Amino acid sequence: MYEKAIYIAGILNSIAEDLDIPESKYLEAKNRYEAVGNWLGKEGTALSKYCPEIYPQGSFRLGTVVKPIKKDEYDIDLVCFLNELRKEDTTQAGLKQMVGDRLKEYDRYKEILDKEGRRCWTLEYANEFHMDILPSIADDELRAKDVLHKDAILITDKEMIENNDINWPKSNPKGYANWFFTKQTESFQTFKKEIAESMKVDIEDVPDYQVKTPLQRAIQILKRHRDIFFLNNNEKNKPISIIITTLSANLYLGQDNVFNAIYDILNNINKEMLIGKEGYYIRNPASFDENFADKWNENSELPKAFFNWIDNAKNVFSSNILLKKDEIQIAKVLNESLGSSVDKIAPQKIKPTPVYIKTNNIKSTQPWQYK
Amino acid sequence: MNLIERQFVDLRKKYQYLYKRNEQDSTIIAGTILFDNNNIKDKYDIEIDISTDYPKMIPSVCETKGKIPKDWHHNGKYFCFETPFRVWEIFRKQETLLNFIDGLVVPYLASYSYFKKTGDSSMEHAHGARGVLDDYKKCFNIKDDLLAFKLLKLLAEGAYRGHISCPCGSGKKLRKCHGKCIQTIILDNRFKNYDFMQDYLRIGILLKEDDIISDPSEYTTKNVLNYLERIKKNPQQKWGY
Repeated sequence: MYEKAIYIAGILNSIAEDLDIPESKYLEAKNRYEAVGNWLGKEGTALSKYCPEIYPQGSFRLGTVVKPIKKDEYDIDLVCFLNELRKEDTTQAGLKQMVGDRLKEYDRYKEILDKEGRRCWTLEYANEFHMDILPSIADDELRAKDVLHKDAILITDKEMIENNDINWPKSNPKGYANWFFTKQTESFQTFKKEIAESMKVDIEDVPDYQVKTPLQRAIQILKRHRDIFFLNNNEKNKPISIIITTLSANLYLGQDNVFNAIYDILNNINKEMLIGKEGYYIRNPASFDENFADKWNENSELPKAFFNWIDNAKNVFSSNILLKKDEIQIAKVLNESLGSSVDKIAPQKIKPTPVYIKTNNIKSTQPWQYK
Repeated sequence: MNLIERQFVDLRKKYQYLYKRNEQDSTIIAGTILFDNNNIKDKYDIEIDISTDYPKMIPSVCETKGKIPKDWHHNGKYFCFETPFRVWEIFRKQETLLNFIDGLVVPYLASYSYFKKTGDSSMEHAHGARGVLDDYKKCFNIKDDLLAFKLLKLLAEGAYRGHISCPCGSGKKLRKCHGKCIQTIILDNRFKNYDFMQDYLRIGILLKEDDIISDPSEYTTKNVLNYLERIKKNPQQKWGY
């Protein structure tokens, strides 16, 4: 049966690879946002004295990018962090405007700048990238508290500005990414080594973005399955990616292939574990008081949609049904539920290799028989 | 999550290629076990049948690709891992699916791979009551069939009296001789519900057939007759190890 599991994992890997941002695009996006960083921090300009820094957050940073269904554009989420600006010396409105103004000073950026977002400025590189830039400053109070919050930031919110709310929204994207990568440290090293061996290079020469663990692949597949499931099905109730990512990383047990990883993630999600003292609760692992599921408690349609989706995903991936199907049927099921076209997919580069469990206690038992 | 679901999570941390499905009266865990026993690498597709009575009832396991011939330590289509006594000893130590696979299933499969590769069957039990008796002899550290049978009678009857003289014929009192060994088993929680009477009867029949027992009435106590009466009423209990 493991042959079938490995076969399915191989297909899922290929599908995920197809959903992922291609290497050339990845590098292009990196060049683009570094250029934005250079522009913002250019010496002698208004922002430069605050030492601005651009770094990626979200799926681009985590390696779990999924191409949107209908367009050929990748979402790249960036943090614009002003190192030397203190909360006491600015306001949310001031910070947001400062970053926006500097962007607009460059004709090209002015041209592709979308209308002001709630928390971000957005650069629209048509048919390429959709770059969200999140203006932020250090959350000095939280940073002083503990190491979990050593990269905590304060961000702006248009609605709060309009309501004259002086509280700053908080975030901790670097802390979240650090947490995420600790959940797959071991697999990451194993797969990095495999890539190095297959390309006959030193392990240090393999860039991290080329390594994809079964956890990252599983998240891509689940996000894609969600996108397809909600396509004609109340899209506004679609569960947010950070919930899928957090639950998956928490339930990942270091499985050596993506099929097994998805199987366990889905099998082990249950309603009870998502309910806290005051309703649904999915803690941001990089923050003590952020609940990713807070909206679920205001709108009961959201948890309902989430569990409907999970049930559907369980039917596809973790009910043993897939393992009993032949290759044509497997392709059909996956194409339907992931909007892919499996027969077009080239054989994947690295096949998952199963682990043989070491045993040495056969002398402790002796087979016997009734008659 | 129920008991089986929780234990299945732990099982999959080690055995990634086992998958669960629910059937009407049982849970089936099916998949491949891959192991490496001192460089004998092998893999088997198996199906584990877990009844609703689990863990009171120990799961049954069969193979789905027919690599192991059915005349190699099978009971019907299911594996015979060990004598019933040892199966209880190993499984009841920790009533989990992981311990079940680690302690019984993998060693059984590894034994077959070893046998196939080397032809050596010295590590297997004799079939039937003979194998069970040999196991008790090892357990009581005794060489004689009949004396082991007499000691087993103490377990079957469940009546331990330390002052009687030891059935092994040493002339010592039981508590100063085999009593220690018997009492360890009686006090062992794992064997609280173990059916020693069944082993006792089966070995009794064997020894009668071998003419080691000439007068069965000596061993047919009231408890034995009651037990037989119960089995007649509930035939399904007969070999319900």
